Amino acid sequence: MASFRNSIQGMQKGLGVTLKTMLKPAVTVHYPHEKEEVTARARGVIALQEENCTVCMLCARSCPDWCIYIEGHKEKRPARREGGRERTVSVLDRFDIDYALCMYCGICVEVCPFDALHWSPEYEYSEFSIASLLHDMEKLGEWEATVPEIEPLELGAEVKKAKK
Amino acid sequence: MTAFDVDPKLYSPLADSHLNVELDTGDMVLNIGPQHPATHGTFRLVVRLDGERVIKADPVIGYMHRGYEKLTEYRTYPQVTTLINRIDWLSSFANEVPFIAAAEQLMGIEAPPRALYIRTILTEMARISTFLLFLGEMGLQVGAITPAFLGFRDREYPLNLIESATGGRFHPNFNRIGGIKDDLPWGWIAECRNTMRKMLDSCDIFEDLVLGNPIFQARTRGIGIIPAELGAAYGVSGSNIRASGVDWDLRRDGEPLLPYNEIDWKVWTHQDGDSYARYWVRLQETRESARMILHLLDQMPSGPIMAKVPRIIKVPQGETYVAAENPLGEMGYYIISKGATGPFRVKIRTASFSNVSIMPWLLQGIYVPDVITVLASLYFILGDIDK
Amino acid sequence: MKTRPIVGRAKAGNRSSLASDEITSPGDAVDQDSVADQDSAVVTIDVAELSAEHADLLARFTGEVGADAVIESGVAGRELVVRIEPAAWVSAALACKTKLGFDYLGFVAGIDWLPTPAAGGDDAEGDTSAPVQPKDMTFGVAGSAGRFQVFARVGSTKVARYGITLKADLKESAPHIDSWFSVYPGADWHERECWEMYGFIFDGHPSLRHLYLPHEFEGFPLRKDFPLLAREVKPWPGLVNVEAMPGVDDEEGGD
Ligand code: SF4
Ligand code: SF4
Repeated sequence: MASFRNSIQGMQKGLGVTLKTMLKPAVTVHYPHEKEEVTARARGVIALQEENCTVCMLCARSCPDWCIYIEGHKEKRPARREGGRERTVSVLDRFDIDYALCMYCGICVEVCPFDALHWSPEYEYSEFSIASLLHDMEKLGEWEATVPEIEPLELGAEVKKAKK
Repeated sequence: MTAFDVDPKLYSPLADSHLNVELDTGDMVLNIGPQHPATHGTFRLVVRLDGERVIKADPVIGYMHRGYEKLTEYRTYPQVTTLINRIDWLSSFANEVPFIAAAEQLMGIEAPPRALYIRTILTEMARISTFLLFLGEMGLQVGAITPAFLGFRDREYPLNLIESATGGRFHPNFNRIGGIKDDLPWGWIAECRNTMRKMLDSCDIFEDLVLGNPIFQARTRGIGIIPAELGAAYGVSGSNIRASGVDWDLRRDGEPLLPYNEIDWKVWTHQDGDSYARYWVRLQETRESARMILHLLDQMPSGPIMAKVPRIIKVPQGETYVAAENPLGEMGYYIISKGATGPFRVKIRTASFSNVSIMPWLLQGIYVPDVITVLASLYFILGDIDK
Repeated sequence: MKTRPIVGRAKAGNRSSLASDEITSPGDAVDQDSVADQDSAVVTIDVAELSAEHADLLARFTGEVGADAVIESGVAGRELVVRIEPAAWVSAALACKTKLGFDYLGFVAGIDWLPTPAAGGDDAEGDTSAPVQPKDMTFGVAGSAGRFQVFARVGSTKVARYGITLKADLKESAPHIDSWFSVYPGADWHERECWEMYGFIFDGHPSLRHLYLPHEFEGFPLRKDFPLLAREVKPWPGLVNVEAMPGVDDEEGGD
């Protein structure tokens, strides 16, 4: 009998929690209809700023998954100033990231010495076939528009962060 | 049965069942998994039953073996960091810390205090999020569905915080040799304080709703008892062994990797060693972690977050073993370096591997329905077993 | 129902009641009180004290297993590493567990000291992102007689920061060693793993069979001469670009 009363009490407690939670606003998001807000730092997708890239291959070399494919060539450009030297510029022919392999570690973004890669918190790029997860230069360039501003840091952080 | 009474004859190759299961009449061989909701992952348990009673249990693992020890030999240190995130994927941040600390130790680098504080906070946060999943899941395994929802809901809050600081919800890859990648974003500390208060409340709810529940108690008390001595000999660590009355916590007793000795906290143990005790200990530890984070936030030092490190990281020749108290138990890395940019050999000592290896002993003689609660109460992550 | 006895205590308490008399508990004295009031979070290692601690442990270990069983010792990080005669492997474990208070099994694992081959095989062109390891065979702390070694770590749940790593050499032709299963039952899975990854045979193990890999698997994946296929089936994308790396004169090209 005592255990029966106990069980009833347990049930009452459970229902109490249910009732209380019912009155609170929902914590879930109805995804396709509502978009979830992601923090600015979230590593969603990598955006490429093509003009900055000098085809130095550092990102492709340090990627643990070998999922960045870069091809480039050099071009001669006229000098900027009258009488100056002719310049050699590296031009990207191909810059692909295979998101089917990428493990979102961020190493490529970090090693890029010319600030050509950025994280964007965008996450809606699922595909029906694995092959279409290979983003080419153009697609990676489009993500650039979604890259957020750099956020301010918390109190007590070191302030000499202005190197980039 | 005495503590070390493991009869080797009981130990026939039951696992390779399609080859050599010796079927006796009367006994029944039951496969739990590889795909079973109670095993959160692909984990198979072959049990031989006599009626409702388990006479022999043999866990079959390896469905998710990714060969991390091999992979680390072909990667540089920064690349390994991102790999070991995936060992125990529910508390990835905690995985990184001992590895980074081992590399720092070999290189003779010390991370600045602010970085250590942030590491500690995020490690404890990983602990909270992992344990909240456990607190909910365990309720689910005894048939109560509300705690599961509560657990999943409350876990989101620490995960959101981890994401807003590190950029990765499950795989932060935030530790660097010599410090951490970035400082906290603006407003994070205030948000963290609120969340931790919320966590303390939700611990109260779990205590009331699950621990106090007579059905839960009936299903967990006195079941799956791990004797302290045998547990240690099996290498069981973390909350599992603390629930057997062993007062041993690497945060306090291990190497001082993180500034745990600068705050006031408590190691919780329970004398019973059963499923209930494991739940109880984890609940207390969740609460303790929330309190610890509040303390740490109060004392947070200011300053740099990165020590001076060479641009190309080469770890000098040497060997070291560094272990830390992960949410699941002792996680250690034995690193052998030969002066290259990557390790020569890394032995990854994962907690769940040893915690689960006691299962053949632990499950002997208990009833089938209890198998699931005992499994759940040991709390393992498949990635942590399979590496 | 009320919860049963709780033992929770503040971190500064001492655990002498648990530690048996013959075990010194150096960890207690070092960190807990003295460091707690320092401002900095950086805990410095007192090397002198540690080596005294290691020397003491080594002396007690040698006393238990016999001087002729100990070949060489060294320190890895903050841990004492002792290389012992393979014949004393089990008796050393027994001494550790029953006499020295190492009640806790950390792990049992293997090492292959053969130099790591270049990713993609030795004839792979150019470099890859994989680190370049030295080409000659060198041995780590406490040395080794040959290619294969088995190493294991045991610790204590009773004394803070107290552990020892044991190493033993195995013959390359017949890597046999006795099993720890009878001493530390937890060695069961570790030895199975070690067996399938390195091919070391643990005599006396009740059932050496595959743990992670499918049972028809051939080869020993963690041996250094076992190729990592993931690095061989695909060319390194870092090599695709045949153009030279941009030199200094290219730097203005970026803006
Ligand atoms: S995030 Fe990591 S895995 Fe992905 S492309 Fe960059 S370096 Fe490669
Ligand atoms: S590291 Fe940066 S500049 Fe170099 S190739 Fe990659 S994206 Fe371009």
